[in-house]
Amino acid sequence: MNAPMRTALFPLHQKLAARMTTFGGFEMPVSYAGIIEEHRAVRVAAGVFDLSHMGEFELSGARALEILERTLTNSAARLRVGQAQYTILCAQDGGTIDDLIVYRLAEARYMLCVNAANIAADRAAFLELGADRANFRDLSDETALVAIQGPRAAELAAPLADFPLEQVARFAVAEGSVAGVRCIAARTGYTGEDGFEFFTAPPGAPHLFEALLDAGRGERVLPCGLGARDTLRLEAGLPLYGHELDRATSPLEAGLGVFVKLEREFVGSAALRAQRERGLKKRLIGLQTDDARSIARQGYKLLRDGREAGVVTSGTFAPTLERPIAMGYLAAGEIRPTAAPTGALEVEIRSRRAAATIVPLPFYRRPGARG
Amino acid sequence: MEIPKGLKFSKEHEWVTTEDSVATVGITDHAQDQLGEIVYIELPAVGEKISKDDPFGVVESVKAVSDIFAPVSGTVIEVNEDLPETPEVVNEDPYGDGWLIKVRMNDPSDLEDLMEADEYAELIAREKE
Repeated sequence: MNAPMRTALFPLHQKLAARMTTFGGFEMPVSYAGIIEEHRAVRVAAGVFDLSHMGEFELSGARALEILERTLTNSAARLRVGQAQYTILCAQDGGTIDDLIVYRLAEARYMLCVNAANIAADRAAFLELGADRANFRDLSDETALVAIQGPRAAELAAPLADFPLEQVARFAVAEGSVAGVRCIAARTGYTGEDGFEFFTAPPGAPHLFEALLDAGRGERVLPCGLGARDTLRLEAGLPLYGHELDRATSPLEAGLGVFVKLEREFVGSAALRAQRERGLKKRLIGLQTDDARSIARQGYKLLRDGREAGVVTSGTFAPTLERPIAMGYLAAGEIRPTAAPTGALEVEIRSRRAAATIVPLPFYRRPGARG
Repeated sequence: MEIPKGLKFSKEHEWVTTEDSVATVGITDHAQDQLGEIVYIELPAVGEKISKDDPFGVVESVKAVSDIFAPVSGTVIEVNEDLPETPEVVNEDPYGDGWLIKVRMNDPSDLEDLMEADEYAELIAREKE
């Protein structure tokens, strides 16, 4: 295994005494003040994240849209300039290679933001599908990503921008300077809160990170690590590649059907149509342990009437809800109302079993959010 | 990282202090720091027997779950009843109010396999390399 890579913000993480871990091949901060405190800061005020491990690709020119349409489950043809969409890259069998966001930056220029651990697999998949004819560029090494997330993110970051940042709509993108740093500003995130992600050249990233923290000085704004990012996304019911998504799981099984436009032809579309017609073998569910204490973690078995019926994919203590939550896959036939007379649902937690209940996703929705 | 003199330490990051044949057991400052915020602790009941080097309980933080290994063999005579409600005490005061269990030891010579503070400090330093 190669030594983990470091982001442009690594010296700043050290200065802030972050606890570090290796994630997706990068040495990244897990936490600074503590996962729970950082998580709460994002729910009530804002948190600032280094997400520079994420990968960025660019496709441009006359064939860019055609390649994206042939490659991804969601329809990039629906994007107007300045809009973004969540989408999935599938294999021919409908399994998931990665989940990503496509940003339409100009008439014929698209940026893709992909998971760090999947950069190489994604690049190979795109090139195999002819992305070199759409001027495919892997910009991961020359792109840093700094995010501010939370209900106060817009009000704190907007004064730093030389363009009307607060007018950038949800899942929209604009280019300009923030704290004097040229960036692509996207109103996207992975926390269940409002917020922005700023793509920029690595040399300016530390200044941007510190300027965002300074803007929140005296408020409850904290630097946040990947620990809080994980608990935040789990509360928001958002999938994480390697947990809810992998090569053996289709986006339909993961409950992402709304991002799969099957009236088109793309890699995996035939397999996904067949899955939909035959019925899904498993489905993603939200789970809570009934004792409100036991934490169901990734890999733990789910039992229905004492028989193995599924597996937990993510589980943690949820700081906002102040109780354990989990997501997992259950065989489709085993998804019945808990009130049904037959069948206890249990999680095998080491040597014991804990009663569990299926709950709707997401676990947390920000106040005022639609749907 | 705090490593008080006078306590004994296991390589699994438990500490032990003894009074006659009764051992009080907890996890070290290093262990709580590595785990992060502790949100749940599972301990044996009074009267249960525990065996040296076998897990006797579980501590869960936001990000991980970890077994707690018995540094000595014996019978549990007291458990820290405050921990189910306030597991964060183990983060705040691992050598004091965050103690886990008291055990009547079968064989006090179990203690001979444990480390002194300076040896334990070296173990942590080596793990960090």
